[in-house]
Amino acid sequence: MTYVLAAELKVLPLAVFGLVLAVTLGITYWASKRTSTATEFWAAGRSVTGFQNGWAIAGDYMSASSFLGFAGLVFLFGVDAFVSLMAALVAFVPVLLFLAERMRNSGKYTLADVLSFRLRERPARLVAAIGTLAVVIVYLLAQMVGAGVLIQALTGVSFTPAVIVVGAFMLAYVIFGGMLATTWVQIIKAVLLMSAGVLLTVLVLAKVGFSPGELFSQASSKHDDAQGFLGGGLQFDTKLAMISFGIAFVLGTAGLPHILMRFFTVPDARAARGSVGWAVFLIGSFYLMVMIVGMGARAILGKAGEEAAGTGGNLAVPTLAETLGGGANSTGGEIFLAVISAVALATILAVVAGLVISASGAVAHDVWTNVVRKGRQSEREEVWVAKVAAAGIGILAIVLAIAGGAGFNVSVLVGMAFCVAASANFPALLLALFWERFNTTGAIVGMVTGVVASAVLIVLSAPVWPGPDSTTGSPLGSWALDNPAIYTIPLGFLGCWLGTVMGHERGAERSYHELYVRAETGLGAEGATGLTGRAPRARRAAGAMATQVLPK
Amino acid sequence: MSDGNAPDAARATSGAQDGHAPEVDWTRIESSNEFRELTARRHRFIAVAAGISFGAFLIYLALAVYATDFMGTLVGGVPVAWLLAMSQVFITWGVTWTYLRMADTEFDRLERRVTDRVEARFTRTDEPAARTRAAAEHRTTERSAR
Repeated sequence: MTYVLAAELKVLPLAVFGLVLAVTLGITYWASKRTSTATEFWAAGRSVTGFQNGWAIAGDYMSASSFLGFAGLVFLFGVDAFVSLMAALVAFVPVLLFLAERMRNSGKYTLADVLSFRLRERPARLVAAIGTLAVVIVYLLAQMVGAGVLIQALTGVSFTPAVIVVGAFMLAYVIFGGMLATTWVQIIKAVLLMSAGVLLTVLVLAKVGFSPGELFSQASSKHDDAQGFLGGGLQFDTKLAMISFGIAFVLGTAGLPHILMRFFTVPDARAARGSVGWAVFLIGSFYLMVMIVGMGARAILGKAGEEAAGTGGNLAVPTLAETLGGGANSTGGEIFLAVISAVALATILAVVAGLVISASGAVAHDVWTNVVRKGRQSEREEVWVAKVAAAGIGILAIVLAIAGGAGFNVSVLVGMAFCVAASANFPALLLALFWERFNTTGAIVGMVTGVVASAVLIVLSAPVWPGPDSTTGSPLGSWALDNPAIYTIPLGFLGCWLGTVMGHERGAERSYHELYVRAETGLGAEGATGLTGRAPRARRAAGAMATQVLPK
Repeated sequence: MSDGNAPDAARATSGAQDGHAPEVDWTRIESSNEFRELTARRHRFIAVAAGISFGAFLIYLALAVYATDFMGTLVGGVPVAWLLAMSQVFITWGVTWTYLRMADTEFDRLERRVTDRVEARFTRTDEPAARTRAAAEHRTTERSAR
């Protein structure tokens, strides 16, 4: 490990970074004046509009791997990488159709709220917290390691200080500004990201005379396997691996706690579904642009760019920006590189902040408030514990990222996060909302199966087993998958079913009726307490009715 | 603690002792015609929309995995793989837009029929001024949700 603070500092990118950080700190200060209650801390007082939340979801969802990673994969492998992009977009269909409104109607801050509504509270919350933390910590680690590597490459600041700075800012947003600051950091990041996407797309298209045909022919002519670049078959080792990867993305998004948590920040179900609409529009537009930009990187940088693009092609886009601006060491090139680097940094910050706040919900709201203290705590205590939990998880992620260093394989970690989300969180949530017989034992067996099966199969997969840099491969031979979702999702559902059938439990069906009616109609939904929004008349009156039964 | 004999969530959020507050009969709402019509229509739509969306994605995924020659065919200078990938974006946008429209025009109306019925049975009427204010706020929320 190097103890040099920085090898060769790049002044301009650092200056633009500083600007982004200053703006986000200003927002955090503003938000801290408006964050004191638990609802304000975790759900921004449910005052975020559907339009704002749509941008925030886009900002929460599209990590640096969406921007730099996917474009880099298109640069390296051509059309095969389009599959990941489209899977990541189609993933919002189940979120919209099955979860967004129902989560908003029946939950408060976390996905455990929905599960524990009809299941035995303490075990359901505990197991949901495990599912949440398994996803969030692994994903957070991936983002932190990615951030360290990226910042080092873009600014010259070494890995360790880069991770510490990212971690410190992430914690500042969450601890002082709560969900309100997190939301606005995500919105700003999404605006920056979309602008960068439009700019790069227009510049790339201008280079090829706005002719897509020209773009594809130039790009493929600069790859050794032109047919594979345009037809596919380059990125994945086996056909099964490609299918499993696609399915993990489509169903994993619907189990990502930090995305689902965003639906609690809007005033009602209508705004929740509207926000998915905006998010789908933004993310879809962005992915259309990523395809062009990735192809453009191949057409413009060519084979010579592969070295500069680094592992996984993550630096293809910054290199492309530098070239489009006029090349290395030209003023235009440096400015362009600095701007794109700053956008990448904002991207990372927005995602890690969202992850930390969802983890703090799992620890403080689920485990502390409802399992340890059984709801006897004061509101002040809940918020205080939430901040301590955020700090604890953030510091854990920073320490793990520094200890493991760049040795962590980021794509394995991201794959694991999506795999656990798809095979533990998604089945349990879906069945809790739609299956009358589902019970606590089913949730426990299903979620534990999902987490354990994902972890075991990933440890046994070729990139991990039996150790880094080994070439002996996996003990499962050609059945091993880098992303084993195609095995683990059915296992997760099977676990839910088996547990339900084996566990005899009365009451789960009865409370199912309440959850079902509430989820479908919004009766008794948590009202908006925030600055702008108010629950609609019917909901409000119904809420007043429900408070007779369920006072806050 | 009881083993799931009482709804946990109600117990957790409720400080009220049993017998004090009127219990809402959720099964009765569930079996009402209004509620059944809402869920039947919405679930039918969701099934069709999910079927179209997942079906289209699975076809695209299958072609990307097994038909690389076809995907690499150039149509007007661009590979089929790109055209099909873009079609995924348009299908997703189309499904989303259709659901949002149906929800605004049809499902919300059906939802209100259920909630109004419950409201009439369980709540005192607010004073008129509060109602108009609430209605105005309702419209604001609608606009902001767009």
